[in-house]
Amino acid sequence: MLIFIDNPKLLLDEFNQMADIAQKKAFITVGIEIQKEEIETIQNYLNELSQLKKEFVRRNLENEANLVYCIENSLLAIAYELQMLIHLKEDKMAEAWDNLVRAQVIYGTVICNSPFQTQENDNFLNRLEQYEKLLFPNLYFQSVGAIIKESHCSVCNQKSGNCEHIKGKLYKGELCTRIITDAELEEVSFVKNPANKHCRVISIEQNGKAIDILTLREINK
Amino acid sequence: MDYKIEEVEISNSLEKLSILSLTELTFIPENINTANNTEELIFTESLIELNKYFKADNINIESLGGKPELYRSRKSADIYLPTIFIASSILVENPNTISVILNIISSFIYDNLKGTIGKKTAKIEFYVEKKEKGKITKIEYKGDAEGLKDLEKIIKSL
Repeated sequence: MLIFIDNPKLLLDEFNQMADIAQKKAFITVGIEIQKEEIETIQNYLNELSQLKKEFVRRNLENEANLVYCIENSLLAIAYELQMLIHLKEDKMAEAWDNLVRAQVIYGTVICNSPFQTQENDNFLNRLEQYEKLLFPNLYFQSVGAIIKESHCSVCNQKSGNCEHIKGKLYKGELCTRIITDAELEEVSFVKNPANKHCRVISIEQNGKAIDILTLREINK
Repeated sequence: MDYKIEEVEISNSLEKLSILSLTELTFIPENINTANNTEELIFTESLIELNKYFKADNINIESLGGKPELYRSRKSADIYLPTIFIASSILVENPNTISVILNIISSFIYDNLKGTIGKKTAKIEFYVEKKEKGKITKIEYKGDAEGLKDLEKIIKSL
């Protein structure tokens, strides 16, 4: 991996190759064992990338560290996509949904921060959107409203608003987030367009029975 | 672009909060009409990040009642932006500031919608002070980043 410190372009070439191979396996027809093996390959590669990112940070090469973030999270999104397909075939629908949402969210952070605006970026995000429409029923979500009393920046730990770091942007290869430590819940509402798609309605009640929205099976309490 | 214009009255609320005047550009809290004192003021959460965009472009916007302590967070995919008060002096003496402000907000919306899935809308209100002291027109905007830029003509025409 140290070779990439001198020539980050080689890293991009390697990433493109890896992504290409992984995406060829991201079809529902591909064998489960082959998809599981691919996820493992990605995980191993991510471990190596993590070391490389640390080295870039140590050398104060922030752009390169941010590039590694984009590469590792693009691959992670493909791994979540593969995991979703595996879960669908294993009849684990709730887990499949959660992995799709993870892929969408994580890839969103890549698109926001990628130094390259390519058609491939949009194509992959569209693909993740299409899965949602084609493979899952219309879902309802819950949205939480709250009054934030205390929060701080994940990059510098300063009180929110006191620093220049912007939520959702990358700094030294890490995504800046707001860490909320004190909040008062105001409301929970049903929405069709939530910020968090993990927060969904899981079951409906029919004739006194709880029915799983994804499988339409009765949920055993 | 979807917008609504109406006259609003905030002088009584300001009096209750013991605020004598507003700076030329001011973030207005969501509960300006119901808060009993400045400690109760609740601002829209996106103010935190939006203000960093303004500061980066040397636009200074004060928050009503001092540094905000409470923020309302909505976990909806839509973007809720803080209400901004624009004094009549800005319109008269420095009208170009309006287009700078709208461009900054537009960039903020664009950045926040990048990488998201589905249709999203941004919502923002402007309180524009009229030449007659104390009279305020509220413009409520709902739409995308591009449409926001068209508000310039509307604000300047008030």
